[in-house]
Amino acid sequence: MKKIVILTFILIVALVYACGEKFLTKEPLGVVSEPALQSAKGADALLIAAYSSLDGYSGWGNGGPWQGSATNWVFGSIAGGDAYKGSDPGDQPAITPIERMAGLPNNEYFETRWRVLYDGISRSNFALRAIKAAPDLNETNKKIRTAEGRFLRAHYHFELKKMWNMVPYVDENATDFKIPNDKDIYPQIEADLKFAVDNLPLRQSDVGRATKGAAQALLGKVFLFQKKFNEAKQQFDAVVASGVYSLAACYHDNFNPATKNGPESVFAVQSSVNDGSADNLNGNYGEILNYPYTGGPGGCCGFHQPSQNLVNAFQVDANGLPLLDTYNNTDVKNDQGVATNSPFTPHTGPLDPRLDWTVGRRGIPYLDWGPHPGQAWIRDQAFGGPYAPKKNVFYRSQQGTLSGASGWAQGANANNYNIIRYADVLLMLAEAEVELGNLERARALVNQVRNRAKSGCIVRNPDNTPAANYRVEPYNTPWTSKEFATKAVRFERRIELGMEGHRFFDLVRWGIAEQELNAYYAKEGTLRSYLQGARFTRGKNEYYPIPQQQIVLSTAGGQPTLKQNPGY
Amino acid sequence: MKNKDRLWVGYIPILSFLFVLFISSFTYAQKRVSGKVTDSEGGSALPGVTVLVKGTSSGTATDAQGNYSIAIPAGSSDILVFSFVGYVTQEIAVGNQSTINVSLVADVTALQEVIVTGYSTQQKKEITGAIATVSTKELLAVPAPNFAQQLQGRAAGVTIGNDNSPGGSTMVRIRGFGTINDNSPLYVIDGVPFKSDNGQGLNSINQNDIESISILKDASVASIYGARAGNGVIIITTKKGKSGAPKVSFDAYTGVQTPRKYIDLMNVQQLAELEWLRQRNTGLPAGQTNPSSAQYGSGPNPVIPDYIFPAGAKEGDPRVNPANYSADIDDPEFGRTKFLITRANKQGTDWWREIAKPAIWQNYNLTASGGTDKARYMFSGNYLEQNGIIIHTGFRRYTVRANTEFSVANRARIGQNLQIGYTERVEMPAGNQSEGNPVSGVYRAQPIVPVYDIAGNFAGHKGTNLGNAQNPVAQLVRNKDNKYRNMRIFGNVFAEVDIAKNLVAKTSFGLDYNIGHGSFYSIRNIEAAEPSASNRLDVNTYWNSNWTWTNTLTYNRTFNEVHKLNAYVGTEAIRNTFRDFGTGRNNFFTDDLNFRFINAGAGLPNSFGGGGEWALFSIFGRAEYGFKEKYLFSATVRRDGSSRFGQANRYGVFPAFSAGWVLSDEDFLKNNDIINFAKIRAGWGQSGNHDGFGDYPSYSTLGSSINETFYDIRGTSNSAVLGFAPQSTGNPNIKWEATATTNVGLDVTLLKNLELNIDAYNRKTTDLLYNIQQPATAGNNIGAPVSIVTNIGSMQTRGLDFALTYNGDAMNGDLKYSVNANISLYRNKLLNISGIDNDFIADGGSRIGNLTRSIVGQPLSMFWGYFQDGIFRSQAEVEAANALDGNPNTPYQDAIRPGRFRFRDINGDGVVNADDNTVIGNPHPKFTYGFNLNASYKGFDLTVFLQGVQGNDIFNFFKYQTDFNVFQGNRSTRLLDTWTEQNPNASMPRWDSDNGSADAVPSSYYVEKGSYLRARNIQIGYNLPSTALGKVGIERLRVYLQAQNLFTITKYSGLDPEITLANFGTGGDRTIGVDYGAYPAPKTFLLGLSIGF
Repeated sequence: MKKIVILTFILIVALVYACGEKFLTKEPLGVVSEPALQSAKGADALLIAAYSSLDGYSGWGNGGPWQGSATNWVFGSIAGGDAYKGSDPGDQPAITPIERMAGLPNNEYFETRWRVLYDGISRSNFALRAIKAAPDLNETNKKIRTAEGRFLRAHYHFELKKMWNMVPYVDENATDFKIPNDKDIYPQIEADLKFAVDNLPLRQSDVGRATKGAAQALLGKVFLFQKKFNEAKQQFDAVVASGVYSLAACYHDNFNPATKNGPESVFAVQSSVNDGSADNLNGNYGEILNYPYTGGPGGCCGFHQPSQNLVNAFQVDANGLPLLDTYNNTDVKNDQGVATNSPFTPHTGPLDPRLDWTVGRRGIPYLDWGPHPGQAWIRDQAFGGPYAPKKNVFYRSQQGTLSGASGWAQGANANNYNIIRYADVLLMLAEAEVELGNLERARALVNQVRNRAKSGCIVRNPDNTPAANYRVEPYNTPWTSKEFATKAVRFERRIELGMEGHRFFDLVRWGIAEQELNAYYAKEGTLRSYLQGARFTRGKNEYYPIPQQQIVLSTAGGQPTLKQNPGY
Repeated sequence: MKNKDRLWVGYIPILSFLFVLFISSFTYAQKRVSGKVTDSEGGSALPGVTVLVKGTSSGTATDAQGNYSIAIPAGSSDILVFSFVGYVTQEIAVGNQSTINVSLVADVTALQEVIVTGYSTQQKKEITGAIATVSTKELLAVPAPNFAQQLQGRAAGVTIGNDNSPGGSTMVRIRGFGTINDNSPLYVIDGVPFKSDNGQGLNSINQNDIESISILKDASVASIYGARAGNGVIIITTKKGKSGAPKVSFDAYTGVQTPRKYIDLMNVQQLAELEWLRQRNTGLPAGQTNPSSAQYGSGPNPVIPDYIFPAGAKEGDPRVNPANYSADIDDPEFGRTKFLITRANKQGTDWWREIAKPAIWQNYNLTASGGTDKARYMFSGNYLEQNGIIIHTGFRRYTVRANTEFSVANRARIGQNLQIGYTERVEMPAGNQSEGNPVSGVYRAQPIVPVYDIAGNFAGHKGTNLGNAQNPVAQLVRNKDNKYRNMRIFGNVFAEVDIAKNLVAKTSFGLDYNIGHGSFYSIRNIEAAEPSASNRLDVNTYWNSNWTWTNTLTYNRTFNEVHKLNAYVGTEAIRNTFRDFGTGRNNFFTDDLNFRFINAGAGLPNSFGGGGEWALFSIFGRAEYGFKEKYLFSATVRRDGSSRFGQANRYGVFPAFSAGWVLSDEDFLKNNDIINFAKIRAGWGQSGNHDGFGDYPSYSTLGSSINETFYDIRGTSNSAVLGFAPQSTGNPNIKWEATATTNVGLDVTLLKNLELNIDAYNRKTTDLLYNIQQPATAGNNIGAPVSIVTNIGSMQTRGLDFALTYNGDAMNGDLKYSVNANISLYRNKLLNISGIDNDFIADGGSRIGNLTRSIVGQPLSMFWGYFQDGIFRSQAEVEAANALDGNPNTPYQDAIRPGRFRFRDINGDGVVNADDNTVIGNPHPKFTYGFNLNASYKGFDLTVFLQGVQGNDIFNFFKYQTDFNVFQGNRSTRLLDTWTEQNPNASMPRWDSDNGSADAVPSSYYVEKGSYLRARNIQIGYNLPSTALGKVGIERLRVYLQAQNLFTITKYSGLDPEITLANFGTGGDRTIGVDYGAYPAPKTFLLGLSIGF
């Protein structure tokens, strides 16, 4: 009996242990491991996720979609003087210091943008590793997919470079992520893009994928930012020569979900709605806050209100040419302080028609939503001014099909954001040509853009009459002065690409941010009191502060690996 | 195994056989004793008293009339033991008596009280750890939907908070905070453990079934639960039947809850004038001479309109003709010629009074119990209904319980405990503590907006310049049918065999099975400024199964009358399986209640679903040894294996030791009139934590998510292609978080009536599990930055628990009273996180950034921001400040000007920037206390229970919306005194547009004192005389009147100072004390009845 008891005891102990290990092994449900994705299909799914980061959103835990938005509406448009923060003073108050060049390193907008860009890089690297390891990918496809991965990685790094200048470069072999920001990463960006240029096809069967033209245009832009004008021109010329791209017949086709991915789209963030996502987060959610208030399309929140300065820039002279030096001497008439049910006659002076595809203003048809009623659609006119953004908006006729049919996010729609469109390529090429002394080529390029604005569609009233006194003409006299040409090209860029997130970065790379922005604050401060006292400081405000939290997280051996930008 | 032990184990079956033989051979040589047992106070019969022959297991219980009859086997001891819960056990030598009447004395010192300490019980006198017990009577004195809320203020060292909403969350914290993760304790009901991080799981347990509650506060006792006991353990035993005639009791109360406080907000005229002041102060744009608003026109003074939609319309305006009324907001003419025509409420809508109304609360409980010496049963049924003071919120619970136990052949017992609970809850829309909920709506909604428009539909803020609040009444009415239903099956079956004398084997299989189903329909809020795109239904469901199989072997023996040994060993296996699924759909043809099914929607359905599993396997043992009940020792060890850890560190061992010394049993204190009892206790132990970071922290995975990884690569505009991205980054080397507690305690009884318990403790958690956020260069996991669970960090909590009880009587014993008071305090400090000096975890997200920080060297969840040092009164003050850094041309702080808040330059560099943010408040109280008075005079009784918190701060985030120029909501009357050049000494800053970004930043302006003293319960009862009741067959009948939260003394300006966690789930402990718009506690008046048959 003694033995039986001992045996039983041993048996129980043995059972307990044997069962224990099996009993205690629980593997995660509904997910995969990295090796499981090392196939053509798996690698492509990883690449899709890398594309998915283009919109600047990668989960609420990384910050609001509007904070990381691909469109740079805060860092490019608002900071550059195209627009005010707008809305209500209490909504997204973190934008106000950025608008005033007083953004602190702990500002959540910087943190979010930094995070989503490195997320895109990390996802690209995951994809690159899987592509390399995938046994069922043939060499051609392997090269194309690798080129896509490297293109995306370059794009994300370039966005970081524009914002912060000194940033770490992360490749697919990195294991220690506390990487110093002590080197210029342009060489790596260029290397990635050159590989992409060499290996990408001119056209891809999926319209959202990177192409050779996209890589050339981006590489050209990267050169332009470094003032390597010859190299830039080569790339842009190649894009032009490819014959793949042309200007859309109608300027507005670039901002209409029904006509997206047209001939002008070189590389765009693809947006989809009603695709199974309850919140339509695959739509252009980065712009979700940027709709008129109470009654207009979208339903919320009245941000990104165009500045008076931008509106004034659309004034033209009798010849249909912009007022390069005097545009801001007189204001385009607006309805500030005028109740919606009080009569108002819009500005009668001549205006570039692109104004009314860029800016929503009182009395002008707001796509097919009827005339913008002014105050009734403005959240707090006394704070944010009288204007509304327009390029991100969908048509009433598209409501529920090309716009989100569900939730609070009824503004999310299928409008793409064009990271690079052909007009941008032409104007960048024009810039390079001016710098290289080819002024007439530059004029031709600018005129190509202006002629489209002239011959293309304009905003019309229901009775088909033009909604305003539109006038736009090409530059008919030859350009002989480089100074004038520079000014004209830059001005064209502002009005063609207004509210598209480029302005601040353009001002910085042109080296004129200090004079332009300080003049802007001086005048706009009389309209928007919070701009009084704002100041752009040379040597500091060209780049944003590196997010405080990232500096803390980079600590290794008691010292942060990341170094803050000068002046912060 | 040593030879000797083997010998001993081998003899068990033989010994037990002999033992049975021994017992049975003497059964017919016996004598019989009978008698009656009564209560020494009042002499009423005591049914159910256990009568035992000392040293044997033969015994009986008194019947309904208190009578008993027992046979005493010849050869056994000559002593009868009479025991009954709540009474002092008496031993009486039988001698030659055949009738023994006993009068039991209610247990005052309670030292003999038997306390459940884990897998066994112990007499209170012998306990060497820190265990608090709360009597069922005290527990049930305060009406609440769960037992944890009833513990508030009752036990030293136990902090309770709740979100005040019916059926809402409850926070239970034992001895402060031991981890930055989940600090909720482990609950064990009838041997079945469970955790409930937000405390909502407690609402489905009927607390009327509780027989006893023990709170294991320190590791020397809690370690027996090892890996899950790091935050203490609450052990609950439910009522069991006792031998005797059936006893039936019925308890009921019903009453009304009323709102306790209102807040001072502006009226329509004041708010309009404030808008004019804002525009003038901001500066009118060039060319504009007067302020202008869509509602108040343009003129030197604001004009209150007759209509707010169309904005600013006057009587006679053709647009307000009822013919122009339209609810079709998608009509192109809507807002232009068609409107939800809404009249201005010039008197002002008092939104708080519109949504906060008296609400009924009722509770009915029926219990029946009884049995024979072979079978005992207890049955109960309960219905609880608590409607919220905020209209259309409420909680209902139905429970039934059956506990039975059967004796088999005198040496085995089998039985079961089972409760089935069903609950229904309607929560506040948008949830508690959010700016979108109706409580926040009360101050965010404008007073000029009426509840209804001219057609009787809900009015809203659709007119221009009214802000973006929702109509709080509309929100609540539309939400009234959005129920969350939960069914819980909780219980166990067990078998217990006396293998040999003193040796008992027990096996128990417990199940905690939950099924939940929520159905949430949102009616389109067309009148809102930011209306939703369509109506929508979201349905979700889950099930969670948790089974526990426990086996123990217990050995109890007293050797030579002086060595008392109580030991057990056991194994426990726990397995948890969770699945959930949910789906949502838009575009329902009608909002009719009968139409609210997924099938009926027209939009594209969206769904989610997932699952998780974990398992725990443990071996444990404990030995308690007492020498002459004077020198007491105990040792515990538990080895846990958890599926949540990788193989390298899957197992954790948690030891504990404690000792006690009953000084009063020593000769030098014996027979002392002053010190009747004194015991010193000391213990040390380790326990662990494995909760708070998911089921699979050791695995690296990739996953997919429609929102975060899918992409419309084909440019279709309405479909997205699957993508995979990293989902989690695992750490195969992580191990248990270990909390070591040292506890020293003293229990003293003085002058017979004064009992004092003091405990001092030091809790230190090492290997603190922390999700270390990686630099963004490491990428993101879907939805969040990459973070890796790592054992790095430590935290310390030290504290004192102090409890005092005094029992007294007067007027020849007619007036009896007892007073008890408890005070607890703890000091928490984060010693290390991720090894970086001054590292912190920011939390408490808000529109103005994170409000809390948990910083190394400081307690958890400190408030973070600027110190606000008054207001810049003049240009001279501004200039002086600007010059502080030596350069008068650089501003002292951003957007500086006269009238702005002045923030403190902490680092003294002459400018205020991010480096000047600092700790501006501490949400941890200096101490918390409870004070309880029970008195009875003849048939009357009185209870007064006060509870309070002292020395904490509250971050009153309400003020963001009410005190600054944000969101065009209603404003606090504090803004009647704002800075202007004519009023430079105002209490509030300059009122202009910039105020919303310049002054509203997180600062000490928001921080308020949170101390309060609350009359949690005042109750007056009357027991009808038993002589009268006996005639109608009723044993006892008590009626009572009760007031809850009758008064609250506090300086806090918000709705309610009882703000604990802003978020009750895991990680919520990093946001303590922030008031984001919490559901306020009501004032309640109840009438109750308790009948026993």
